[in-house]
Amino acid sequence: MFNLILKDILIQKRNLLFGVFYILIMIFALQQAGSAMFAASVMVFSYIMVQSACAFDEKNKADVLLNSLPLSRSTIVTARYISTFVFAAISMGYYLLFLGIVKVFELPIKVYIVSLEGIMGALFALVLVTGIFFPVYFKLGYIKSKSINFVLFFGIFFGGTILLQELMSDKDNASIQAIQQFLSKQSDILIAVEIFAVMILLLVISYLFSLHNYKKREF
Amino acid sequence: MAPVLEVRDLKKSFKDFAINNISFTLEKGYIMGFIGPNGAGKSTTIKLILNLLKKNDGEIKIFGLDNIKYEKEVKNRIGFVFDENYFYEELTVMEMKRLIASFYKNWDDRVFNKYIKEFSLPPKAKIKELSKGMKMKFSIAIALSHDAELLIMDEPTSGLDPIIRSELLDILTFLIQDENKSVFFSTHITSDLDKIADYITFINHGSIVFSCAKDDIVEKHGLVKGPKEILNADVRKHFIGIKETPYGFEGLAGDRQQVKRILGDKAIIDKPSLDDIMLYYAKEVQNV
Repeated sequence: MFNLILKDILIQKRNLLFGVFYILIMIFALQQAGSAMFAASVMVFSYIMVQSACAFDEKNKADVLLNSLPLSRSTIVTARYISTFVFAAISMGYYLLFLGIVKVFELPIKVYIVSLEGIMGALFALVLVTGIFFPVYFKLGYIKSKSINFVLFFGIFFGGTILLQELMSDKDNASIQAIQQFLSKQSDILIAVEIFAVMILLLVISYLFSLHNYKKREF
Repeated sequence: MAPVLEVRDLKKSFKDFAINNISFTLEKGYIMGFIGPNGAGKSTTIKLILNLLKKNDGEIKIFGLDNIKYEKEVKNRIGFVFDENYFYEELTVMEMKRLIASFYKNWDDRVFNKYIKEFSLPPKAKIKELSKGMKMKFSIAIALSHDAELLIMDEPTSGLDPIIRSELLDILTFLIQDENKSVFFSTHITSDLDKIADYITFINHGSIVFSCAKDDIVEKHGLVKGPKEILNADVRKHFIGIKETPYGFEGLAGDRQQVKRILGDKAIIDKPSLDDIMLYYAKEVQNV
């Protein structure tokens, strides 16, 4: 398992290097975004790494190799889910690195501090996107799942941003006020726990579908 | 003792192709050549053995164990070599080795390093920088470094130059001196098998034509050359296929002794090569 995850990183050494620039671009592009800067940076780079790992597997016909080894299909699926979180950790590391540099050298760039909200937002967005993508990927492979991936990425990234903006601007809306009231009664920690629970549920459902699809797959 | 590989009534259908009820057995300590023209079902059978494809029906036992129920255990004792590169091109030889080695219980780095040296494989080179021959050697080094009892090879010699092909065959000959090892070797280049195979299984259009000892096949069949005049309906019945030219005919007879008795010295009767045998069976040259 550990070696499969390590492989996901080793095959994209170049991406790992470019990651520094990706995160930097995100920071520059999201100067006005507030705490969403962290969430978006982490989510986008992690997702690029996930996509790239899947693409490299497809390019090298890795399914044939991996499934000829004494390795269960569930290990292959599990490793890919864990890799996603490793990519998120790497992205967070990069972000923190820039945050540190900007603070130490007092550079005139805004890099927003990492908050619990930001971490939860990044992880939730990542789980949502990969949670939908992986079952399709494990059924069809990378090339065939590309179109779904396209819709997913832009749908969630831009759709989510637009939706959030709409919600923020329409503060008088009764249902939004109700949600705000409901949330304001709860502590940040409780909200985080709730989001976490939804995330786990999403992950479990997605994992089970992925496993089911991959076990039936032929190469 | 259970055979190393036992395939019984194996079936698999695709839209435009099917493996029909194939059966064969490989005993411990032997090399079996799995021959047939391109598209005959060789790779499909190998993928079914490795559970890369799901069978519709039938039974596959490796070391007496079901290939799906005991998949992990069985795969620990198998080495495989494919016709094309399935390694991560972006990784170096050592990185790829490290990944694969981690999954095998009996991986032996000393054996791997010995092959790396013997094959002059550059450990720090990326897989994509290796030539086709080098990639094949790397594949063989990987397959031989975890004390595999069965080596499954799918067209390992296709696209290799004669020198590397010959080297590969030498390795297999050496390997098989250990009586605990067996090799299942698919190829459409039958001359590779003339030297090394003990058994031949011939597949065509998804069905097994024959599966028996190589010497028996060559001894039993006869390559007959003679004038067309001797070809009457009775004689033709004894042929698997006949090629006729304006000057005479050449044909493959299923029973050399019988044809010898019938034709006497009216025709020249030789031992056929495996190539001749495959050609006549596969092409279904006129058989009237």
